[in-house]
Amino acid sequence: MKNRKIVVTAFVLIATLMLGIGYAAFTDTLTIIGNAHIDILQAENAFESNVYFSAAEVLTDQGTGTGTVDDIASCTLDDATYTANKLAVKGEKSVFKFTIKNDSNVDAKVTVNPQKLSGVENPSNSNTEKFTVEYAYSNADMIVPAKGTMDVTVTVTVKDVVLNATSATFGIELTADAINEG
Amino acid sequence: MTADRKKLYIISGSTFAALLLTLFAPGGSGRIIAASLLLPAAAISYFFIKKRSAPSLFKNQVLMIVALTGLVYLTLYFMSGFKFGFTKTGYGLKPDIIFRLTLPIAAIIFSSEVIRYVVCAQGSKVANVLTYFICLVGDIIICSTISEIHTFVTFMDVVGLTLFPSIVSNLLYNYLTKRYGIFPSLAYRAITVLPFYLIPYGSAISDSLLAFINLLLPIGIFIFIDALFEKKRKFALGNTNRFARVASGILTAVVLVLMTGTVMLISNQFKYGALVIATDSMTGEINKGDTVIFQKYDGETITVGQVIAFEKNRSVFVHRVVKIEIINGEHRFYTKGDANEDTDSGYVTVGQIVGLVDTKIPYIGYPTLWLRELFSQK
Repeated sequence: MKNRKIVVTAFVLIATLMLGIGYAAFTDTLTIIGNAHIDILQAENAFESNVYFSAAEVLTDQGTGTGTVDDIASCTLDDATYTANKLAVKGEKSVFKFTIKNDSNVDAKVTVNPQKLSGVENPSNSNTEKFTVEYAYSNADMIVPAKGTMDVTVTVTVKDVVLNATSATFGIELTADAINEG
Repeated sequence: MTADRKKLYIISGSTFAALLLTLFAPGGSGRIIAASLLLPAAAISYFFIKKRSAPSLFKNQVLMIVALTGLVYLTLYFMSGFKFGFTKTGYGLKPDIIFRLTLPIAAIIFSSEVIRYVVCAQGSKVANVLTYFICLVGDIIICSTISEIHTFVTFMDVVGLTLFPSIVSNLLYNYLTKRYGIFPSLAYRAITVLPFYLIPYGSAISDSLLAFINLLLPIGIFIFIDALFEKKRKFALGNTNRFARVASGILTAVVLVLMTGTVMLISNQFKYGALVIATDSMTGEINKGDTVIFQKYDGETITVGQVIAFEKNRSVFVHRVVKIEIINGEHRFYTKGDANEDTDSGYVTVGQIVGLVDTKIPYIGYPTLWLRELFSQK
């Protein structure tokens, strides 16, 4: 009887400790926000402003984020912006698609200028420890045909455990050059 | 070994093994499978093993006390909804819920108690232990199977609200069944479990508070019944000396104080609460892994420089007040983490303030962070 009492008392103590650990509230937010922009810089010899962003959308069916706030994507003519609000835990991803349109009569070659532009690595990622950003182009040659379009798909993935509010800034600068001048 | 003992070991051993496998059954089917296993096991135990315990003189009184305790617990639980709020449970008198949940759970409770009643009368320690674990696993399956544990919340539902209370409760049920027959445990379990699946609303009492209550209540029932009806119980040999009794009393008091303090702080339902710091924003003064104790905000005057806990965007933050403005009668508190470069965006209103930080306990929050990190990984 005495032994049983000691065992039960010890169990209650341990259970109290474990319940305290498990149920403790903590200052935390699991939402992760990644902001980014894509710029198109028109090369000097190209047609004027005929290559631009025409559409921006969030590919919700491909995203796996479980956060409570929705992802956002928008664009102006030469600037596409997205915010990955829905990312919450390691392994989740948000996917965005931007459409580049070419209204000119010549094909446009889009390049990611490997040289540092504006003093910033291109593409840039301010938090490579926690995020990866991948770019995919609907045309492998990265050519936007005359009077046509090309899609740029951006995938932001959480690559490491995140316990506190975390943000990052991503950027990529694309340059459009005419291929065959008319 | 008698024939009855052989049957006992076979029935209880095989039932336990089958129930263990049922723990891994796909979501939703565990209860039905467990009920299907336990009902025949109970029937076989009852009809093929004949020896029974002699009935106690006090079995009716104990039944009444235990049933009444269960009713009081149930009543207090639902009345607590007036303090903590009510939530919709999704259960109720719907045919789907009755056939999928309520009936299988009732079958699990009934058949596990029959098995316990038969086994307790046989005087076999091995069978008693096996039956204890059969009932423990049965309780877990009533709550959830392993396949249904996806998140930290469901994990704590199983561990905090089911496993730990069940470990203590089944000790009580074994005690009651051995001395007073099948009905006290059966009645208590039926009263304290089944109504939750029949009534579509529940109390929004915090899980931590409920977990502690469920952990302590069976111990309280045992102490009460033991003191009331087992007056001729001998003190354990060697426990007649005064020093041992005093030491035992002190230990009990320490455990009670520890439990009460933990319940009060963790549940955040009382005057003081506790928060584990999971971010680096206040590094220097309050570091990641520390636990802060705060006093719940009750309209006190807040001054610049005070550290407050507040809610924003469904999260709780602990930052320092750096500026206060009163605009159109509304108090606006501008906050900043000591280690952050910038002031927090926006401001905090009185309604968002959770409490005023009093003190901190360093490092004690790390186990919580590690546990959460475990469930944050995919």
